[in-house]
Order: sequence, then C-alpha cells, then structure tokens
Amino acid sequence: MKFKSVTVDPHVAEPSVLKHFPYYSLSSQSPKFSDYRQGKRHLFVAPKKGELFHICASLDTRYICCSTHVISHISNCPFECTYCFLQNYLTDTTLTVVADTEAIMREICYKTALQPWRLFRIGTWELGDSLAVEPLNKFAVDLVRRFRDLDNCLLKLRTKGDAVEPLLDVEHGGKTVVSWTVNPPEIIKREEIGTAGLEKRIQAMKKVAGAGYPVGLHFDPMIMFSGWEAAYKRLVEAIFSAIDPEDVIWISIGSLRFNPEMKKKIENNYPSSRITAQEMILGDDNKFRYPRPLREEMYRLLLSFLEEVGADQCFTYLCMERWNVWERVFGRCPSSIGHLDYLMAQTVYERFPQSVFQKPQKAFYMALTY
Amino acid sequence: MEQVSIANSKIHVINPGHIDLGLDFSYVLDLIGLWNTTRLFDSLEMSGIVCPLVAVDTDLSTRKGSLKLIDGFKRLEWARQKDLEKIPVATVHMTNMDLLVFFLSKYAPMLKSCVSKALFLRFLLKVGANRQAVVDKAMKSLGLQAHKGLLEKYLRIAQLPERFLAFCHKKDFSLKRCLNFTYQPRALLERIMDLEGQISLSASLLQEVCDSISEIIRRKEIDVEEFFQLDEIKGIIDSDLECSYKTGLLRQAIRRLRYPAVTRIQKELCDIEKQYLASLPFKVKWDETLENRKLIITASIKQIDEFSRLRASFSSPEAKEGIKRLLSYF
Ligand code: SF4
Repeated sequence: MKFKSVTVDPHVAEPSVLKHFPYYSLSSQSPKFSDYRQGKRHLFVAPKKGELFHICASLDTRYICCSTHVISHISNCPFECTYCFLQNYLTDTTLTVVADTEAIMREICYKTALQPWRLFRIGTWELGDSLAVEPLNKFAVDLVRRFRDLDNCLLKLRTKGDAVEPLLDVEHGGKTVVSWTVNPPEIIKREEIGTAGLEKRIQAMKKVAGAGYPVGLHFDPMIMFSGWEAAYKRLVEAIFSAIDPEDVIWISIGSLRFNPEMKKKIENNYPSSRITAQEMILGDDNKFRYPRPLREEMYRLLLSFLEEVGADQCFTYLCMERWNVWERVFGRCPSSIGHLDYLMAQTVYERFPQSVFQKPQKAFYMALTY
Repeated sequence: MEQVSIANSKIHVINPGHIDLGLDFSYVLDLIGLWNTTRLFDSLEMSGIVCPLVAVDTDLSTRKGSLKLIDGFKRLEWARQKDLEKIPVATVHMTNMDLLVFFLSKYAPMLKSCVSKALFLRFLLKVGANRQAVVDKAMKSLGLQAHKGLLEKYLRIAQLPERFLAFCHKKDFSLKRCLNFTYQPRALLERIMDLEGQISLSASLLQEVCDSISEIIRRKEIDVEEFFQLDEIKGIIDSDLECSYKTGLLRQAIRRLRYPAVTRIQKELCDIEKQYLASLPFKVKWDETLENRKLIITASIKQIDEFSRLRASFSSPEAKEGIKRLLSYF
C-alpha cells in the first residue's frame, strides 16, 4: 500500500515512527477529504486525544452481543470492502493511526483494573483493519508485547490481510488472538477490494498458529449469491485443511446487514456490486438483513460444514442476532449478554488456559448490566 | 400579461427566427411540459403583441449577432406559430450579476415545487451565473438554505428524465422524495412514466415500485424492459382491469418478486391462521418482518358472557394448535 501523502502530527509521542516513511509532512491538521475512499490513500499519524477504549459501539441489548471491547486508535482502512460501514460513518475520512502505545495502555490498564475478575477481549478493529497499515504494524507488535503482562485482557487483532510477519517472533504469552474475517474467494474478489486473497489469508493463519497465537475466525458478513452453499463449504474445507481446529479459539458467524443510508452509499460507491440486490428486510433496528429464515438456513449450513471438519469444538457464536435466532440455530441461547461474556471467558479458560489468569466466576458476569 | 421594465433598452423590430432561447427559463419549463400557453395565446389572438419582448446582448452571449431572449417566450412562440415576420424586441446590455438579479426577480417568487427550483438552479449555472452567487443569492430567493451541499442535491434532481421531472412537479414531490428517485436507473424512471394513467401512482407507491423493480432487475441481472416482459408483470399491465385494481395486483406481483421467501412464509402463516384460527373470536397478528417471536392476540367484547366464551376459545384445541404452529415459524 502506497500512500499519496503521509502527515505526522508534531505532537506524536513516538517520533520513531517517522523512520518508516521516506517522505512525510509535519502538521497537526489532518488533510480533509469529502470522499472516504480518497481518505484511504492519505495517512495521518496522530497523538492520542480523548478516550479510545470502550465497549463495541454495535452493542445493542435487543441482540445477544459478544460485548467485546475496542481501542479505536485506527480510523479508516486502506482496504475497500463494498459493505464497509465506514463509508456511512466517518466524518473525518483521512486514514488516521494514533501513535502513542503508552497512553493507550495507560487507559486500558486503568479501566480494566476496575473489573479485575473480568476477562476483557479487546479488539483494535472497530474503525479499521488491525494489520492493514503495514508501516505502522509496529504498534500492533507493541500492543502484543504489552498485553502479555495484562492479566485480565486478551488482545484481538482482526484483519483481512496477511501482514503477520512482524508478529511471529514476538513474546505474546498467548494473550493475543489473531483473527481473520473470511469469505469465499468469489466474495473476496468482488466485494473485499484490496484485501489478501483467501489462500494468502490461510497461509498467514498457519504462520500465526505456528507461532502459538490462538486464531479467531469470523464468517461475518456471510453473503448470499448464486452458489453460496458450495462456496462456503469449500471455504470451511480450505481453512481447516490448513489449520487445526485446536488452534481456533472462537468462530463468529453473522450475515450482511446495513441501514438504508448505507444501502444508498453502497449502490452509489460500488454500482457493480450486487450485495444490496438480494431479498432483504428492514427490521425494527433500522437494518436491512436477509429474511430470518434465510439467515438461519445459512448459519445452520455453515455449522454443519464446521462440524464435518471437526471445528464444532471451537466456541461458535452469532453476531448481532436475537435470542430466537440463537435458539433455532444452536438449539440453545445464552440468557443474557453477560452470560455470553462468561461463556467466552469459560471457553478460553478450558481450551487456552495460558490465555486466562483465573477461572471465570459466572455470578460476576451474570450481574453485568448494559 | 408579463411585463418587465428595463432601463437603457433599445427597441428593434426583428424576425422571430433570429432570437436565441438559450437564456430563457420559460423555455426550459416548456421543454418539460410545465408551461401552459393556452390562455395567453387566446389573449394574443385578440390584441397581438402589445409589449416588446426583451432580449439581452451580454458577455454571456457566445454567438455573435444573436439576441438572447430573456422575457417574452410565450409571445415569441405565438409569433413563430403565426409565421409573423417582424416582432418588437427591446435589447438591453446586462452583466452576469444584473442577469442573475433579473432572473431572480422574474422567476423566484413563482417557483414553488422542488423540481422547478432544481431546474431553475441548473439553468442559472448553465447560463453562466457564478456558483457562489447562486448559493448566496438564488437559493435564498427560493427560500432555501444557502448551502453548497443542498445545491448539489437540487442539481442531482435536475438530471432526472424530463417526463419524470414533469410528473414530480405535477405531484409536487418533496426534495427528499425527488432525491430518492435520483438513485434509480434512468431507464426505469422513463419506463414507469408509460404507466401513468394505467395505474395510480402516488408518491409512496412510485417509490416502492421503483425501489422494488430496481432491486429485482439487479438481482435477476435483467434490464428494465425484460422486467416489464416478465409474464406475471406483462399479464397485469396488458389487462383491461380497472386502474386501482390493476395497481393493487401489480404491487402484489412486484412484492412477490422482490420478497419471494417472505411472501412464501407469509402465505404459509396466513394458511395456518385460516385453517385453525379464523372461526375463533380473536385475531392473531405476527411480526411481518419475521424477525421477532411475538404474536399479538386481540379481541373485543361487549358483554361479560362474551368473555367466558373468549376464555374458552383460547383453550380450544384449534387455538392451541394454530398458535403452536404459528410460533414454530419464529
Ligand atoms: S477491512 Fe474492514 S474496515 Fe477495512 S474496508 Fe473492509 S470492512 Fe472496512
């Protein structure tokens, strides 16, 4: 990825980042672009301002949410997925990375210390891809190192790329999960522009699994197209012929969703994309989704493929779905968001004991309110 | 009769064929059928052209020697229809800014619909008015917020097909509504206009139909004409049914094509309701989006003994079976 411009705020706490860029300009103002796609080609390295650590903004009590936490220190993304919600979300469109690991860690330590009994799963992908801004993957590495010593936190890097080399020799202590969003090659090619192809993602998974990292898999968003059934079967087979289900800490499943404004943006920005043309229903949460019976069919089928390759031992959950969908897909459902939080901590404790500091106490999680 | 008084004008008598219409907004309105000339033509028949037309000789004029009409379009039309050889024309010299002020005073007060405003804003830019002046002065005169983004929206609307614009003007569609149509395929908007008169096109129905058809054609990878040739669509359109009935059928057919899974399941749910619950003294509704597992049961009673019957009906085997079956879908 070549940037058209790199601007570094003179107040960044880690000026060592400058050595990664042959050319840059110094300014505390990021360049402004009205089109979010233009903003992807211009990098702004910023100091930390305000709080960056919070619970996932998509958390909605109408769903059984996984209540992950996020550090929003990356904003915008060099990749270009047609379904990316950023196109309807970002007001400042310049690709911005906060270069101040120390300050970020201070905030995390302070906030996570308030609930020492809880296993915080903390992602860095809320407004971008965790590993796509390659010159700055050094920050991901710094976070991996720092998380090794944080008892009650797991770092979650999530990517559609394959730039994992810098992670391989890092002492991570099992406290970082490297995750991939996965889709069949047909979708990657048409809808996930600029991302690594499936084969490259799988090779990268193999490398991090080899380096002892737990791997996360996100079949989200699942997208319907003619032949989707066979395509997702091939996808599952391709992944699990390369990596062992033992190395996979969890699997999330979700389907394509967007609000009406986003629909217009997608159709305007990517006129040749067909993702908005499928049968979709506007729910009471103002999001278009495939009709529930079709989603359930997709999820059940994917689960059966996972079962066939022995990946049903991995903790599998649905993203942004209601309890009735959980019940119809899994035959059971966590009783609350806190319960799901507990189940995830529990599965880590049982399957990846080095990644968690103590046995999770169910009562504490069940008492969480959102 | 329209009249403008402009200082420093000279009156010429010239051939109507030598007048250029590029600076006359009335001409733009006429092009899309928004200009009614009948009444004026009647009065011109009686009295002829009493007041000279006004043409401008400005820095906007690109073709040397041509006079650009700014006032008197209907009179010119009439003169051309009558094959008059000479008409009185007052020529004036104006700067771009003078012209803008002139257009605003002449047209802005009478432009009420979103479409007419959109066309007017596009016209001003086309005849060379400065963009910033259009934002600051024209938008304000039209009662709009002086905002560049809003101007872009109006300009987008002005790009809609002419017949469609005329329809939106006639129905006085709002900015939001018109803007929504700008995201539809042009060929679809043009084709839909052929149905005017055959089906009742309210704003919301038009929106629904356009949204649905454009989604279907993208999903099926067919073009607009192929859509209208689909058996289930063509059969309805070609039928002699009464307008509102035809509209209802067309709407249902389009919904079935757009939501095949949902309509199939809705039908199954309705069949269950008919089979088990239709004869019972309460109504059962479900979430038509199929998302939420929730049945809403309503009943109304007037006498206390009806209450006992209602209670009994809840525990009847049909009620239990029907409700169980309905719930099993959620
Ligand atoms: S990788 Fe994620 S953040 Fe980047 S464009 Fe795709 S969806 Fe958006």
